[in-house]
Amino acid sequence: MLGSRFTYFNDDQIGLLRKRTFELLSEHGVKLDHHPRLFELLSKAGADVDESSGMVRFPVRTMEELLSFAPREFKLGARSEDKVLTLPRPDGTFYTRTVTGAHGWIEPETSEYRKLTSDDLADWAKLVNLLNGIDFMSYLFCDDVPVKVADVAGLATVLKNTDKHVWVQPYSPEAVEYLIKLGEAVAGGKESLKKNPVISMIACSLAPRAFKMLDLEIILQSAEAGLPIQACSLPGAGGTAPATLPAVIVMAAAEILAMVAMSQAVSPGTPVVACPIIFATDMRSGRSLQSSVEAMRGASGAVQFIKTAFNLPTHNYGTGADSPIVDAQCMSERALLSMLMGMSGLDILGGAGQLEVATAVSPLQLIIDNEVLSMVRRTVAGYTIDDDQLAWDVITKTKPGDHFMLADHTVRHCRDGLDPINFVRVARDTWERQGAADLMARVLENYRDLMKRDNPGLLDAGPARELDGIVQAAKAKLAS
Amino acid sequence: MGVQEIFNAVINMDDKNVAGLVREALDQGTEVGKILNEGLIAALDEVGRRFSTGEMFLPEMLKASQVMKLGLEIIRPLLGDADTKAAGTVVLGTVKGDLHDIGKNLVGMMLEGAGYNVIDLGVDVEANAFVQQARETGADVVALSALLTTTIPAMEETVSVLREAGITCKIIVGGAPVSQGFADEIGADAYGDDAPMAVTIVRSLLTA
Repeated sequence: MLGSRFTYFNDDQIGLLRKRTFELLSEHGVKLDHHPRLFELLSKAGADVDESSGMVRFPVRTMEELLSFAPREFKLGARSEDKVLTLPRPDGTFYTRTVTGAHGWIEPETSEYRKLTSDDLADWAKLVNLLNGIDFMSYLFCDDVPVKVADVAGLATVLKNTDKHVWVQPYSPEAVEYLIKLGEAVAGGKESLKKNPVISMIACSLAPRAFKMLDLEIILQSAEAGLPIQACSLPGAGGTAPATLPAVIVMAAAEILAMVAMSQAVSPGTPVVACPIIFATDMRSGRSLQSSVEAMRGASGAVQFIKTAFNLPTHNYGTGADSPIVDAQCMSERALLSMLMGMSGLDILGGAGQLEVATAVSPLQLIIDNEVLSMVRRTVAGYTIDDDQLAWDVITKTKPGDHFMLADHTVRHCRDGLDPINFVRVARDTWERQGAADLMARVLENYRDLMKRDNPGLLDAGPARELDGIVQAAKAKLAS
Repeated sequence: MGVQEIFNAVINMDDKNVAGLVREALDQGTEVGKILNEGLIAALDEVGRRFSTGEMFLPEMLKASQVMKLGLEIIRPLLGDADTKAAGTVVLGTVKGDLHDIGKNLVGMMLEGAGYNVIDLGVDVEANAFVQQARETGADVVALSALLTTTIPAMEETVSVLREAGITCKIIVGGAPVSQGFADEIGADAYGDDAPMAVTIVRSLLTA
């Protein structure tokens, strides 16, 4: 695994952060909602469990042992074999995913904001399939389905419309089993899902250092089903975490390690992705910010620390903005964030298409993010140093003052560079002759072209009906 | 010791000295009403002004409110009923299904600092619990909070249950997924983008 391409920390600082993380877990612990089964499993694994208070402490040796069970390399499955993702990415760069759970939709043609529907979500999934720079996705919150099955219906819609991996955010403990059933239906059964986990499950701490029943059930059922768990800690510096970033990083790391420990106590070898999603509290208003410079520094620092100290794959916001509209602030923030996170060695850059701290999405923004994230991936990719790349023959055989345009080597490599289709590289006169379209106008045209195409990731009718049946069963049980 | 020092102690978040300054002022014969109005309350008004202009940040404002309360505790036994009457009663809570409380807590602290009697029902609160508390306390305002997109329907249900139960006080809503449009849609009386707006909103609702 490649580490960070730059780092904030020296070895002593990493050592102190690691020591404090283990101390927090061993001496102070985390608080779990009352879950007798998990308490029993954790106790058997060596944790110090106080059932009456829900406090669980992890002696250092226990934590190190449980941590050692978590695989450092694994796959996020997909319906199509060529969409399966190997973590860490073999080329040393990162994967990308779309935003999770947003409820607002910015209409591409009019820029109007409205609540999102299941039809929008199907279009969103189709767009994701057509964008090669986006590796996997999540569902969004649709306004036209009963809220108690919004997660089940959302996942079914996405699974019917994409063959890429989907990460899953359950909204209630009761929904977890239906969400896993949807994954099984697409993968072809329980065992097939274990071999090809087409979904992975999000579990979150409730900062500071607490875990609610929903997330305990997610960890338990996902580990039993052999699904990868995306262990998210979402502290807000100055609100649900101390104001200083090293403290936030330690707290986030401790919460994530607690989830790693729980998953390994249930089923050793459960894949876990560490997601230290750091927010900063706006000290003027109390709002949580995702793209302020403090939030970016915190997220980047947490990724660097967790990768260096624990060698776990990491996932975080890798794009996005606090701005409510697609504007210059939005573009500046996401450019800064994506580059910083890419340079930090993050394995999955999430949040493509999102606005307003992940509460709204824009299909046009998703198209832009697809290209920007591809550029970041290209930027942070390592160099190959070999005879071909050094082009020694070409350099030495070309006379001083001559050029390389006609060299076979140049012809062979002239398409190596990334060529984003929505970014202008023409002179002003040409640009004006071509209609003087700005980025958003060009992206809108691109969107229209893309949406005219067939969806390459549609699920066959048979399995799609099976998904509908699971949604109906969930509605009957949860929303009646 | 004069009221100016008390005023300054609140502005400067001086929790170590405010109580002593109030005691000294009392010992020197300063009128209780003067300490209250020209020292403590005037300081909190100034804090509010500085916050609204961006000169003070949220934690600083909350700390100053806390310091003001420390001073208030010293003179509370000496105040008449008219002086200690709360500006109004607010029943506050995070709606059913949602366990997030930081935004709600901020709202509670700020309303308390502004002189309101705040009854905090906590998180994951059933609609009927809001009804019961609003009825028992004769609340002027019920304030509902939600962080999760998935729990805003519970907010709608709570508003509806409150109204069906005949609770006529003002209802205000807030939280990350909430908007003015949503507040209008569910029949809430007001919506605030963030915690500091809660005080302005409650003041305007109760003086309208």
